[in-house]
Amino acid sequence: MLEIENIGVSFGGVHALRSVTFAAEANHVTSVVGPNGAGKTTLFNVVTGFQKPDTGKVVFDGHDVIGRRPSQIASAGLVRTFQKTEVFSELPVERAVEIGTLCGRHFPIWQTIWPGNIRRTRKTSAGEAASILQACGLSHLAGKYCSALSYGEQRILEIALALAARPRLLMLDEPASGLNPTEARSLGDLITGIRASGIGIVLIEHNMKLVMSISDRVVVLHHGEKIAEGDPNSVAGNQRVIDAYLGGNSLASA
Amino acid sequence: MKAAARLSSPLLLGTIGLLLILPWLIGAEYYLHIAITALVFVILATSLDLLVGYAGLLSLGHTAFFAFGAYAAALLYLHFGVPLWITLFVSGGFAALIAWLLGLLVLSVRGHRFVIMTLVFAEMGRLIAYNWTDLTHGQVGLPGIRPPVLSIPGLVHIDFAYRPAYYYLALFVTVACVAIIWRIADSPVGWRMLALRENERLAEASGVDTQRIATTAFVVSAFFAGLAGSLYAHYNGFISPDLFYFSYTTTMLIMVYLGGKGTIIGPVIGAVLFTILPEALRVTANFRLMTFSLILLLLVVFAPEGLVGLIGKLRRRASAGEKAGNA
Repeated sequence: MLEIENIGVSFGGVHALRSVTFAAEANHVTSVVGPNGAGKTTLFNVVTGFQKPDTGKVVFDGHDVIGRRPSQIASAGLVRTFQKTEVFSELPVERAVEIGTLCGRHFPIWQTIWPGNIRRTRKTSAGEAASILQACGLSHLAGKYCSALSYGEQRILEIALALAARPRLLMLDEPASGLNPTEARSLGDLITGIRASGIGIVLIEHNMKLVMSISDRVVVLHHGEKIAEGDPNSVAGNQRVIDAYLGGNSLASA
Repeated sequence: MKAAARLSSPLLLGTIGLLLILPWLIGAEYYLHIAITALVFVILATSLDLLVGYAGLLSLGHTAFFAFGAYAAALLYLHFGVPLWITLFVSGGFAALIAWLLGLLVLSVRGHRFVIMTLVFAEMGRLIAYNWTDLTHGQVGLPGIRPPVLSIPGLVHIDFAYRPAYYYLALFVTVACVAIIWRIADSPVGWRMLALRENERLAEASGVDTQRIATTAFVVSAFFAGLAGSLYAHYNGFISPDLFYFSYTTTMLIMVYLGGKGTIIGPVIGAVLFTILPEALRVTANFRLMTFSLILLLLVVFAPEGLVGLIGKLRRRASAGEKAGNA
C-alpha cells in the first residue's frame, strides 16, 4: 500500500535520513521507532508532503506522491497526525471533525449559494462527524471548543480528525506522548480498532509497551538509517538495536 | 444554532421592515445620504470579514479593490455610457481579477509579510490613479458618473438620481451581497477558511488546499469590494484617488473588529453604527472626533470580541441571572 524507497534528506550537510526503505500494508500496524533525532518525524513529513526529499520515492497505491501538496496526499487517503498537539483551537469539536469529513470533496464556490447543496453536505458531514466522535469516545465534548479540551482529549481529537478524512493509511506521530498509562491503554484499543476496520497504520512511538503490544512490524531508525526491521520480538533481540538504545530505554526490557 | 435563528427571526423581519420604510421615517435627504453610505460600507465590511474574520488573512489594502471597482465603473460609464446594472458586475470582476493576480504574489507569504504587501498594494493603486492622468485625470478626479435610469416604455420609468430610489437600489444590492457572503461563510468553503485561520498546517493535513482557499477568500472579498465601488461611484457621481487612502481601510477594519469579526452580522452592525455615529456626534461640535475616538477606545477595552461578543456576553449573564433568580 505504501512503499518508501531510498528516501534521503539532508539539512545543510547533516543527513536526517539516509536511503530509508520500507513498506506499510493495510490491516497492519507498522511502527517506526528509534532514539530522538533518528529522523522519524522527518520521514513522516516526507511521506505526507510537508518536506521534499533529496532522493527517493514514496509510492502510495501505485502513485508517486513526491511533489504533491499535503492536502492532495490526504485526499488520496494517506492522513497523518502531528507530534506536537495541533487542533483548531477556536472551533467547536464537532465543527473541527466536520471539516475533516470534507477531505477530498470539491466545492465550487457558486454551488454554496444554492441552499440544497449546503443542507445535504451539512447533513452528511454532521452524521459522519457524530459517528466518529462516538467511536473515539468524544461525543460528550462535541459542543466544546477544541481549546477547552484536556491534553489527553486533544490527542484523541487529533486522531478523530484524521479518521474523519477517511484514510486508508493513517500515520500517527507519537500519539501516546504525554498520556497517562490508562489513557495510553485506551489509545492502544482505539488503534487496534482502527486496524480491525481495515485501515493501515504507521506509528511513531516512544512508549515501547504500546509498540510491542500492538505492532505487526517494527522499523528501527538510528541516525537517519534503518538498522533493523521485523516483527516486534525479533527486533527487540537485534544486537544493533540494543546497542543503539544502550543508555536509553531498551526494547528488550519493555 | 437553531434556537438563535428562531430568536433572531422577528428581529430580522423587524429590521427589514424598518429598512423598507426608512425613506418615510427620515425625511431629510441628508439622512438618506448617510443611510446609502452605510449600505456601501456594509458590503465593504462583510466582504472584508470573509478575508480577515474567516480566513484569518489581515489585509490592509481592502479599499484598493473598492477604489479599483469605482474607477472601472466610472471609466466605463464616462467613455461608453455603461449603466450601473452592468458596471456592478464588471467592477466586481475587475477587482477579483486584480486580487487573483496579486494573490499569486502576496499569498505566497503569510503573517506580517502579507499585511505589509497589501498595504503597499493600496498605495501603488493610489499612485496609479494619481499619475495616470490621461485616463484618471489624477487628483482632479472623475466627475459626472450618473445613476442609472430604469425605463420600460409604458410600464415603469425610474430615475435613480432621485435619492429614495437609489436608497432602495442600494438596499437591494446590499442585502443580496450580504446574503451571498453569508452563504459562503456558512458553507463548506467558509469552514475551510476557518480551518486556514485556526491552523494552516493542520488544515493542509486534513485535506484543505490552504493556498486555494486563501485565494478564494481573497478573490471573493475583492469581488464584493469592487462591486461596492461601482455602487458608490454611480451614487456619489465623483471619484478621486482619495478612495485609495489607508483611512478607508482603517474604517472598514474598525467596523469588522468592533462589530465582531468572523460573524458577518457583527460587521453589518459595525458598518451601520460607525457610519451613523460620527454624524450623530456632530451635536458635540468641536469634540466630535475626540468623542468618537473615546467611544472606540472604550469599545476596544470592554468589548474585545466586538459588539456581537458583548451582546452575547450580556445575554448569557442575563440568562444566568434568571436561573439564579429562579433557584
